[in-house]
Amino acid sequence: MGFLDALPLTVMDWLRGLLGQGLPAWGVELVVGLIKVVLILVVAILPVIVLTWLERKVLARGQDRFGPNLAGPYGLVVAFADAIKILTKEDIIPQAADRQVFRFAPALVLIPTLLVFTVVPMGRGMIAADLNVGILFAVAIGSLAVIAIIAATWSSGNKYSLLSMFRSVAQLVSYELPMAFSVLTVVLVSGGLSTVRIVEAQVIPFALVMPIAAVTYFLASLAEANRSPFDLLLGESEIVAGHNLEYSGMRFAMFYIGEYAHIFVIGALTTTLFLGGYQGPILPGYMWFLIKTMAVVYVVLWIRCTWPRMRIDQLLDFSWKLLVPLNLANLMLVALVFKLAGTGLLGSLLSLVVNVGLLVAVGTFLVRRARSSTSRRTRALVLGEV
Amino acid sequence: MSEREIHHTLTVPETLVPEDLQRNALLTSVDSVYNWARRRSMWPLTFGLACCALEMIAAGAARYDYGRLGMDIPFSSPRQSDLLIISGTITHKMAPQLIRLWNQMPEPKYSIAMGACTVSGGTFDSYAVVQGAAELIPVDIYLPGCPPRPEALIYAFTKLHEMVGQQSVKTVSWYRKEGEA
Amino acid sequence: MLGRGMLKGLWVTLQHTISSFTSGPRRFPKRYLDGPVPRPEPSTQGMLTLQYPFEKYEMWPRFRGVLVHLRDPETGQSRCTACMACVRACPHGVLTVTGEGKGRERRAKTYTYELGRCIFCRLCVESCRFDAIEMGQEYEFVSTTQDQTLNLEEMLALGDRSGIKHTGEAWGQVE
Repeated sequence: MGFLDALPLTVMDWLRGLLGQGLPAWGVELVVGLIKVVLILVVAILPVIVLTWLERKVLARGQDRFGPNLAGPYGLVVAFADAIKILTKEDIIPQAADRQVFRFAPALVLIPTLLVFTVVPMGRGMIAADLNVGILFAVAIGSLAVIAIIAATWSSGNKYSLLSMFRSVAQLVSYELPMAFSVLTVVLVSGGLSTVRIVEAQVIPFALVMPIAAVTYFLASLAEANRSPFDLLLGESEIVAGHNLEYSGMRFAMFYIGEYAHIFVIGALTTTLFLGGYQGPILPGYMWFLIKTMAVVYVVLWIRCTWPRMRIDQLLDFSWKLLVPLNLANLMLVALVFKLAGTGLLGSLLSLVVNVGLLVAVGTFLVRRARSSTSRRTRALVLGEV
Repeated sequence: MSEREIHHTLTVPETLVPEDLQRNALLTSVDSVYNWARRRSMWPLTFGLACCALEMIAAGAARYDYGRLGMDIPFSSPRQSDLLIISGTITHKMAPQLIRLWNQMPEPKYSIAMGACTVSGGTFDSYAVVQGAAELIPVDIYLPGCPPRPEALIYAFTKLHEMVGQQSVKTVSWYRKEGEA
Repeated sequence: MLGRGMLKGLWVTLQHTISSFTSGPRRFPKRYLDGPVPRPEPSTQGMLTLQYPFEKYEMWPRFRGVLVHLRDPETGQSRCTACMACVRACPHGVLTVTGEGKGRERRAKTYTYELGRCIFCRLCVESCRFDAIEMGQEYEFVSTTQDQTLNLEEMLALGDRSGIKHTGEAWGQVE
């Protein structure tokens, strides 16, 4: 463990020692706990400032545009302009709204996202709470975000936001399952639910050992965060603007921050589960964590820039008819492989072969079924015939 | 870029801040930050009425890109947008919806009447068409043209930004109660 | 087949992301072009965004901007004789013209052009028999009032700036 790698921990230990001179043991723990809370808030909110800028720039560059470039050098401070403007805007509560719930819902949005950060290891030993059920906690808390959406839409008294809530819940329920299966595969191989243990088990990143689970997890978490191409609760052409339709000013800003914090959570969890977390050569662990997370975040924005929105039936079909059976099969095959060959290099290699083989088999099966099918829709979906 | 010799009739009401307050450093810096933020993050409402809407879309696309001004998130909910670009013929059938959208937008809000039809009814001097958006809602900037070029629309944005830049937190109407001066 | 189109789409946007930095006239870190910007060929790669207040296209000769008056080089005044042909030709009553003098001495006294109603159809120019008016190159006109008008002097100044000598020269209609 190099000096730079351990720097944050060294600083924390030094602080602990300093506090220990004047405070009792519980006081030290309290202050350190508070510092951790503040650090997590910073880690969750700081990316939001960067991401609002980054998303607009990535979208713009993908479309051969400049994106915001007049607010500061390269438009870097555009997030501050957004923040100041949105805070000084009028706050409207519609007459039909349930006032208490309407006010409470925006506060609820950010909480699950912030809570997930407590179990994400951001560097060697840099974790707020190393729970022994860490990843279970992350999955459970992550699905709580839908409660905020339900509260926001139901209290708005608006039929369009209500429709978007129905879509969001259907989406969450159907994508929770493949997500749980892919996480289960990881847990099976690493032999523990603790996130630190999962990271330490990844001598080879799990994305290379079981690509099916990795891609499934990534897509399912996109669906859970309501990101493109699964952002059909936002469907502008059908249901105006989604769950935050009636919110303006500061309350809308909370939804906005929640959305971008959630993107960062997708990146952080995918990094932890499949990309080897903070592990990497030369650079300190937290730098590797940041690099990998930002790479995943870029893929999220890249997909937003490219793919059109899915239809609700395509979305549900994709989950129930493809991802769930595929991951169930993957889970069983990977379990078999690691039981027979052990978790070493041989097991990893065999697992990769099995994964690719499964993908090829399913692909061939789908194509052969589609060739013999007379349904135009099936042929268009699978074979790409127009 | 050549200087424009003829500057056309953009008259912005002078600031109503008293003279002793104008030298107040805190107030002016608050004003400048406030106005800068509203200039650089003015989100338009996704709202197109007729053929001018195509020109508005072109202004947002890659060739002209009003996203450079920080406007690249066209929100589809009026609750979150700051700028209403009335782009195209307002028929009497569409007038209630336009007024409703305008009323749903939270202050501070601005509007641009884009094209001859919204400025004055234009070529449609008919029973079915509203003769100018000013009959329905307060308009900040009138932009003639049939339809105006995308550059002209961005010119209207820059003029709107100038107008926003001359406002002051002390005097704007939207932080006051009804009836206050 | 089976998501090949989706991967292809990702590849296309990635290519555009990279080429927006590396090719085209505004490649990184250069941001603004100087002088009038040439209109790009359709095949040009990379960033083509015209950053309007800082860069401008030169309008093509047949661009129909606002109506301008052409100056008679001998008298330094407009060639308009207030014959009202343009007023009659205008579908929307945009023009208001008053004249003074009789016969060959007749000249326009006032010429009011209401910009907010004009649809830039050029029927007034088609009807003009005295080589007096033409559509100019200007399009940057906004106002905070509904009635935005140009008078004779302003239109003459705009005509000087447009550099047009005769009506219809860009259309090949000059005899």
